[in-house]
Formats: sequence, structure tokens, C-alpha cells
Amino acid sequence: MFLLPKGNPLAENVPISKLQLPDALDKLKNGKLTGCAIFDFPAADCALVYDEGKLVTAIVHRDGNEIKDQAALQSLVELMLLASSGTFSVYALSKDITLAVMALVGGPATIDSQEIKLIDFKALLDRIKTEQMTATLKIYTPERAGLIFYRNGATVGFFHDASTGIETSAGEVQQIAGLPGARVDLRVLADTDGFVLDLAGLIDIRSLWEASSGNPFATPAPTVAAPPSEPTVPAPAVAASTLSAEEIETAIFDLANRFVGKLGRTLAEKELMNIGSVASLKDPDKLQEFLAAIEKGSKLLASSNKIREMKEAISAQAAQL
Amino acid sequence: MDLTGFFQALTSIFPFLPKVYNAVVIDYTSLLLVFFWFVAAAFSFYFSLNNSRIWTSISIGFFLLFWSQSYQLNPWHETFTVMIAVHYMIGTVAILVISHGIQEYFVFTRTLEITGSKKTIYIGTALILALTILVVSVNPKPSLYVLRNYRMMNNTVWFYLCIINIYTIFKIYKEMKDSPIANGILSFGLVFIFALIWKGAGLYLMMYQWDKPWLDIIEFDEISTDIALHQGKVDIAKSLFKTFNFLTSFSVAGTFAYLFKLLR
Repeated sequence: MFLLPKGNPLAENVPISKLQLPDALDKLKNGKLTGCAIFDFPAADCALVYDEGKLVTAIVHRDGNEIKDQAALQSLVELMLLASSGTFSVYALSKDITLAVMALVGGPATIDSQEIKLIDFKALLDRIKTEQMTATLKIYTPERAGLIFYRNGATVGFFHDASTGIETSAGEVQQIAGLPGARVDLRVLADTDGFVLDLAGLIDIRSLWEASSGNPFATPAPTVAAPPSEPTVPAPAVAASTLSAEEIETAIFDLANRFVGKLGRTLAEKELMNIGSVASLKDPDKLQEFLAAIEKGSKLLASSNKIREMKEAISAQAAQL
Repeated sequence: MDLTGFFQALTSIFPFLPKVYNAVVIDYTSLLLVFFWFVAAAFSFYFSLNNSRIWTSISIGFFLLFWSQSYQLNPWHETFTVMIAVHYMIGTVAILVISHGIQEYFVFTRTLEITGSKKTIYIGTALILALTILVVSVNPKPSLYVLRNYRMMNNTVWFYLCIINIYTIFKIYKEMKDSPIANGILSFGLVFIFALIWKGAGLYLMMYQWDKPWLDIIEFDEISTDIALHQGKVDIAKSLFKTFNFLTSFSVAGTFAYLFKLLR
């Protein structure tokens, strides 16, 4: 049973006929969603996991198969256009739960479909704690399913098939563990040193949607860039060859907005206008001038750590010019 | 806390200091209040390092506040009436400088421009204080009536500037709601709400001549008072004054500690 937690509902059971996929995904991105968007089709399910507006994982269950990442997005476009009915829901989750859901959806299966009676369950729980795993423990039978979410080894929430939201006690999930034939999956989040790949940056959903909407039998548009082989490579570097100056400019403003807020964006726009244009950032001196100006204003708006991270991220973007 | 021995020892080391004849007992609450103001001054000074002059204004203001509050702890503070007047003025200049910093912060949120140098703030404040000291010095030694007037001016300036600061802080918050330190700025608003009630209660007592300095004055001048007819209002005002004095200093230290956490 494919189970995803329901957090704070931002949209529930919206018919997909009312949805333009690219617009909906843009809204989730611009709204800096941390949580998941779930598409429920008659013969398939799709889940998109977001972390502060970045699409970090996509998964589709279709015809008994599991499809992930870019292929999942392409599959989602097909399902949206071809399915006769379906619903769309969006749930906001806390950062901790979202990381655990990322593990559930995209993480490798450390333990896969093991019967609880055949394993040392207590030792497993201790291992999660001592190794400080960020993970989801799924406990299920053919009829019931429950999830336990962990962040750095600490339990951050519980969810089961009858829950309406994230729970703070393990009661029901423990009961599922006690049912005959109960099995357990442990999915752990891979360590990416904080770098999170934005799948929406790798595939142009809008072009794919428009191409597919025009001729359902046409070959879908090719993806923008191949995914990186290692998760530690930062997302901007992967799509370096395809980002124009305008896109880099937008990315810089988005970074300022993310780290400092709306005033950070306005500050970045103002300082960029002062030094000329985004192309001026190719000059190292101009780049330093720009960063120093942003830092001076940002000191009144954000912490020194956030400012440092923002400067590093902007430098990385400017390096692509 | 009985500090009689300490101050008597000081007078033996520094013969120019007046002799201490009465016991010098400082209650812990007063010490705690001054400590909170010190914490605020220390944090705001830290923020002003390597930062724009907005924090310089706020830092100087809180330092002057700490100075004027801590002055009252010394046992000789009632001996030199000129110094009492000067310290009321220091407290008044403090809120003026803090308010200037808050106004500049608001201008920054609207224009994102930071202009002007820190030196201007330092020199300007020093000049205002020098002028204050000059004015107090060239005039006759303040009587109890005059000292009360200085105190009333302090309460009045604080009262109205607190209102302006609360309004400005909420406007600043609206502009930078999604910034990481927005909640810290909002906490400042709370500080000024507490300060408004504190100084407002003090001003209310002074306006109707129910304050202690006035009652001390009329005790010897045989002037009558209607305080007995309004004892309930007086008790409420005194209670508000005392409670919100504590809350203001406590919340200002807490706000700066919170801002320190947000700005790290």
C-alpha cells in the first residue's frame, strides 16, 4: 500500500480537469512549499515532494511499477492528459517530516519487506537512533500501513492509513506492528551534504506539457540535461550549459529572496542595477562589489550564516556566466 | 544587598567623595534591572560592530539608558542635584537617539539605502550631551521642583516617542515580514509597549501631583493634596509603573538575546 502522510492541507481532492500542470507546479515552487503534492489517478498514483519550493523527489506507481525522478515527471504529464479522472492534493509538512518523506520516496531500501517477527525490531530501532538516520520506517500488512518518521535518529512523527494528520504518539502504528504478517521497510535519506537537486530545473515541464497537449502521440520534448551521477553535485552546476543570463539573474534574485526575504530580492535587484547588468558579474571585481553591497544591506535583515550561504550560492550562479 | 562597607572604604581611598553616614542597601531588583539594561547595551554594541550606523544609533541609545539607570544605584546620586538633572537629560537623549535609529531602520526598509557615517552619530550625541550639561551647569542649582520638572520632561518625551516607535516598528515589520529576523524586530515593539505603560504611569502620577517627589516637596511646604481621595487610581498607577519598569528592562534584555540568536 503506497502511503504518504497528510500534513496541513493546502488543497484537497481538486479534480485534475481543473488543473494546468505547469501552472500548478509553478505555484508550488513560488509558494516555497515544504511538503508533498499527491496526484491520485484511477490506475496510478504520483507524489511530488517539495523542500522550500524545490522539487526534490517525484515518484509514480503505475501498473505495479515504480517510476522515479525525471521519468516520473514525464509519466505524470502523460497521466494528466490521458486519465479520465483524478484528484490533486497538496499538504504542507514540517521540514523534519519532509526529509523523512524524501527518504521514504527516494531513499534506498536499507530493509525491504522484512517480516517483523523475523528481525530484531528493537535492535533496528536502536540502530536508527545510534546511526542518527533520517529515515522512514514503514510498517504494513496487506490491509493496514503505518509510518514512523525519523530525523537524525529522533522520532519526529507518526502516520497511519486512518490518520488525518501527523500524529505524535505511536499507539496505532505499534498496533499495526503487532498484526500477523506485519512487514517493515526502512528507507534512509542519502547524505548529500545539504545539496538538494531541483528536478523542476532538469526537465522543462511547460514545454513537455505544451508539446504533449498539442499531439498526444508526439514524442515528448527531450529533457534539459542529464541528471548528475553523484547527489553531492550542486543543482546549478548540472544545468550550467543551458542557463541564460536572464535565468541566472532570476536565480540570483530567488536566492536573495530565499535567504533574506522579499527585501533581499529588492536589494539584489537594486544592487545589480547599480553595477550594470548580470553580465557585469563575470568581472570578479564587480562580483565582489555586488556581494559586498548585498551583504551590507542584508546585515540588517538576516544572520551572518545565512548571508554567507547566500553569497556562496550567488557566486556559484555567477560562475556559470 | 548591604554595600555600606564597600562605599565607606571607597570614601577612605578617595577623600573627595562625600562621607557615607547612612546604610547603603541596594535591593536585588534594582541590581537586576540595571543588569538587564547592561545586557541590552552590550548586545546592541556587539551588533553595531561591522554594521551600518542604524545599529550605532540604537547601541548608543541603550548605552546611555544603561548609564542613566545605573547612576541611580550609586549612594551619592541624590547629593549632587546638578548630576541628577544631567542624568534625567541623558535618559531623554537616550530615547531620542534610539528613536532616530528606528526611524533610519524604517527608511532603510523602504529605500534599501544606508547613508551617513557612524562618526556623525557619535559626535552628534556627544555634542547634544555636552550642550545638556552646559545648560544645566550655567543655570541655578536645580531645586526639588526643578528636578521634578526634568523628570516630567523625561517621562513626557519617553511617552510620546514610545508611541511613535511602536508605530514605526510595526511598519518595519510589515516590510520585512519574511526576513529571518522579523520576529526579533517585532519583539522590540513589545519592549516599547511595556515602556509606554511604564513611563505613561509615571507621567500620569506626575500630572496629577501624586508622585513621590511631589509628595516629598509638599511635606515640608505644607501644601495639601487630594491623593487620599484617589488612592485606588494612585495604587494602580504605582503598580503599573513598578511592574512595567521591570518588564521593560527584562524584555529589552530578552529581545536582544533573541536577536543575537537570530543574527548569528
